[in-house]
Amino acid sequence: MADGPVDVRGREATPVSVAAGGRAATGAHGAAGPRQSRGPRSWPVHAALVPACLLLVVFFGLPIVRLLQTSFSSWYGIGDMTWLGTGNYTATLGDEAFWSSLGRSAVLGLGCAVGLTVIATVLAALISAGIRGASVYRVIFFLPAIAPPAAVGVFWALSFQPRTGVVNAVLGRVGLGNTHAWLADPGTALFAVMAVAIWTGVGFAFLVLLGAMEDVPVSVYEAGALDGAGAVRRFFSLTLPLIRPVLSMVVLLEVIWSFNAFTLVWALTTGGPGDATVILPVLVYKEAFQMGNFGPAAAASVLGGVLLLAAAAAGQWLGSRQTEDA
Amino acid sequence: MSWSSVAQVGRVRRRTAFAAAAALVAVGAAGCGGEPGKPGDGSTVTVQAQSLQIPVFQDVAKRFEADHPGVTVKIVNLTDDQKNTTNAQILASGDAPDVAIVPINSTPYTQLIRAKALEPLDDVWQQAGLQQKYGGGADSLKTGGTPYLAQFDSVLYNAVYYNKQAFEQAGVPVPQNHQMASDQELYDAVTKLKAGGMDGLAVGGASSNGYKYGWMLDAQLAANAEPAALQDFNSSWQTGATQKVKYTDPEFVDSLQQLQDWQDHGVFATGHVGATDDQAQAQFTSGGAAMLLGHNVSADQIEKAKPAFGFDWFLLPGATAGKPTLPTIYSGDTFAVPKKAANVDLGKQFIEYFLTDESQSQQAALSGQLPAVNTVDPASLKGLNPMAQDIYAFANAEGTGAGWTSVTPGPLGQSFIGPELQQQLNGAQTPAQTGEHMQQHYEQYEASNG
Amino acid sequence: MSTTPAAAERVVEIAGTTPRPGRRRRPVRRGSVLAQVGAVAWSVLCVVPFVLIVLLAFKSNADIYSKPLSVVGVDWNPANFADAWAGPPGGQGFASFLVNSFVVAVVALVVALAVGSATAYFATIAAPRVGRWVIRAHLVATVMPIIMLLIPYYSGFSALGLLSNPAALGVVYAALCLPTATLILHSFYLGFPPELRDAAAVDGLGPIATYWRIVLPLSRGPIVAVGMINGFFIWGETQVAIVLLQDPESRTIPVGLLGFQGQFSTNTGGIFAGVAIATIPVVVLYLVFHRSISKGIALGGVFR
Repeated sequence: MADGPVDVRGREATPVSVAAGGRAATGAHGAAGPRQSRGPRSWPVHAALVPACLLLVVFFGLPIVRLLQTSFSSWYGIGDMTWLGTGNYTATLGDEAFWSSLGRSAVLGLGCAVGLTVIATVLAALISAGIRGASVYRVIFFLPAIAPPAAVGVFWALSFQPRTGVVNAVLGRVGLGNTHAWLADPGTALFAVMAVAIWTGVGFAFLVLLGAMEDVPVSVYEAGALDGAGAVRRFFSLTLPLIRPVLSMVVLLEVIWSFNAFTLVWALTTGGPGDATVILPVLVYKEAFQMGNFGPAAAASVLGGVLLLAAAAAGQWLGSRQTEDA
Repeated sequence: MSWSSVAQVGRVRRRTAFAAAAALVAVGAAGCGGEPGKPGDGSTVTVQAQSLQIPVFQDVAKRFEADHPGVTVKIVNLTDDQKNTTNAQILASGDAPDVAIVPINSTPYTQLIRAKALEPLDDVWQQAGLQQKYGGGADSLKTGGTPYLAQFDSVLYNAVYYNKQAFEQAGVPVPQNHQMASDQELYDAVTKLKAGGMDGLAVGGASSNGYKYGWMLDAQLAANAEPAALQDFNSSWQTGATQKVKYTDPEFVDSLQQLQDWQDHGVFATGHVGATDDQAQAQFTSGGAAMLLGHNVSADQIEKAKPAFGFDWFLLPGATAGKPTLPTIYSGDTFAVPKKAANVDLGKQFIEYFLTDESQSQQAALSGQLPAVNTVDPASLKGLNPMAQDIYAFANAEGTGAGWTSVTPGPLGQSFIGPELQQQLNGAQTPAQTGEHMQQHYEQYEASNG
Repeated sequence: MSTTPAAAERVVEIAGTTPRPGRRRRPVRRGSVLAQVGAVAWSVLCVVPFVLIVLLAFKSNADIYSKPLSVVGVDWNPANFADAWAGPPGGQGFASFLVNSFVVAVVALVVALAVGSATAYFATIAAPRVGRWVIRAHLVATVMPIIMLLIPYYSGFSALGLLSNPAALGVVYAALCLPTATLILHSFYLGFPPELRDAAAVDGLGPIATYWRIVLPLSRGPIVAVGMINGFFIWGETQVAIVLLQDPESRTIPVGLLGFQGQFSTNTGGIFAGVAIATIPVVVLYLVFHRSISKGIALGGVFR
């Protein structure tokens, strides 16, 4: 593909920062460019932008409006919606089940994000340092992220069974006992889910971090080597600070995605045992589609969504601040 | 990034967007319709069926078509989770089938009744004489005195299947008359089985959020609670009824406690709260667990897995020695006719046809389902699995227990008590607390439903 | 942070097509054994479950439970795959799920890539404020949690009678994939050489013709990469599908697999065969096309 002289507009950004702050996009339009397609001939250009905006409005904008409407109403899935006011919100905010599910979502989100980022960072460091077989490892490490989450969930659900599941079979061979009922014990169920989520999630974080690490100019390392710094010290004092913006973006994205990990939880435990793995999306689904209470479910999803958006905004603001410092 | 600027973009484009969106969606709806529109001309009747029962429905459909020339029966698959969750939307939409499966204890039934979306079936009941044929359970199928449902088969559940060889080897005496007399007999059996390396009672406790524990509670309530109290539990949720026995009373909590005692004495197989139905079944058929909780069709299913041992069935003990449980009866496989169906009359005719004695006795042979009507002679049920026949004969001779979760609306009973029992059996709460939660949930339900 | 020629280089590098000139050849001396052990350990953890899925799918029910890890002395039962393909009697099997998944994927990818690439390109040449807002709108959409969209999608589709319609679900996925597709392609098009556009303008081609005749053929690589990334997401997406595809006949592979468990309660082998059918083709596709995917991620760093 064309990778010609692209620095005409003095763009400074890694492609990754498109997501991190959108400043690349805005910066690009600031400088003067070729004056084609501005002025009287710009209507076909603007017309070509309409389908996308249409899709966005119909599938993002209108549903949010409808969701808000549902959250302020009483609706049971069929029949009319009757206006309720803030009743659903007060009920949800006073509902212990809502706060517990929020807490579990937070635990899952943070635990997964931290766990998989640490592992992904270590792996990316190993590969970018050029150990033997790096090209093979690149391919293998992304493998768990490729499989459909539902299939992954069904496989691991069967594998965590006591005695007969693969995990317990291995533990039994190793001598650690084979009767752990990971998914039956409320104390371990959420962590079993977290383990599977980390297994699936490392791949993507690994690729992004690897990209960022390989972006670091070799001159930086050569200078460090001249100063007598060992490989590990070079990693901690040179590489990590330089990839910090990408690192924080990855952590943020993973927190958001794991917070929202409906498919894995549903395939592994359907929220059980009891409500030990009922994270917020599972609560919304059960409340709406199993109990038929669409109003409170909508209120819960609005509250959860607002929380996630606030976290995303905070993360991007923090990320953009750090890039300025770096 | 300024979100108000994003909103501005949205506002500017909204007018064109609305018009275009409407056009887009209309085109999509028209073009991607998929199957042809439903003919309302009385020539096709669409019937919902669950996959395990499709052979029966196909048989009835063939005979119905033979007796009604020019009519075709179209069978549509209905899954378990759909039956309990979103079937209401399907029945209230333009795509509604003519004959739907709406269990009385499912969320869709509550939603459809509230939205008045079901046809009253008084004429069907009249034609088929169902008031007599359903016997004592007829009135529990009605809401507000009007029948909207027609039961098409019965399920007897809470039969525990056991590994005969394992019992012999462990020296456990065969339960007399298919009933374990007391908790102590159960504990003794389990102790001996575990000494021989076998696991205890396999239950699919993870499936459908623990509905199997709701099953077990039903059997115990029917055996332990006073008849008046049981009647109250089974009917206090109805509009206009008042609750006389609370869920915090011993009548309810004692049964919860009995399940807890079993858990504490190690009656259940390891990891039962996390095992799905197929895993529990495999635990049993592969010889790992000596007992499996099932229902009348389980015998057939177990045999399909070709276990290396012979098996039989028994019933769990009640809390009082000498007062064992009875098979619990589920009257939930019921037909309903949505008001929005295209061929309401044909649908009703199909239901009447399904409830003739001939159809009712055929279904036993084809899928092991028991008849819903009491006019079929048990001895004439050819092809029924002998063990299922045994259970059926036992039920006819000794009686059945009325299942609480099978008559209470889903959001109130089955969907709520399953997770609660999962938590209780995991030690996260006491039976008394389970009772409290149930009472609170009941009061919330009453408050929002009247 | 980096100069742009290096960025362009990195795109090629990550794809693994050319070795970096003398830069990444330095072996890690100290602790290299530890490094290899760590990498191998994680590789084993990544690969073994897939091997197990295939292994277990071929075993008979009894042996899945009594000899899960064994390879010798096992009752093999390849009929599991026939069971999974056909499904339970009267129900749907993977044959039906595959067709539905295919329809959904084709509709979604065609719409998402067509609209996404056009939007990305024209946003770079539109009036700056307009282009900026369009991209911002896509950025906001990227972080929209699906949990907020489920209920309205459901009520909307129910009202329009579009429930259980795979093509309609495809359009939903197109919209969900659109932000990432647009953003990734936008960063590619920002680097598109303006000389080609100017040359086309001199030849008298309008903007749409330029896009169609000049730009699009040259963007094949990134579009394929973005298509692959989104394709894997669409193939495995479950949360929206489970709500919008109610009819068993309309179900895609992930939703069908989840429902399989209830219907195949005596046939664990069938369930595992289902898991294998759902997973292995995707894995094979990835192994063949992994370079495209890495390129796409390098381009945008935003992946669903």
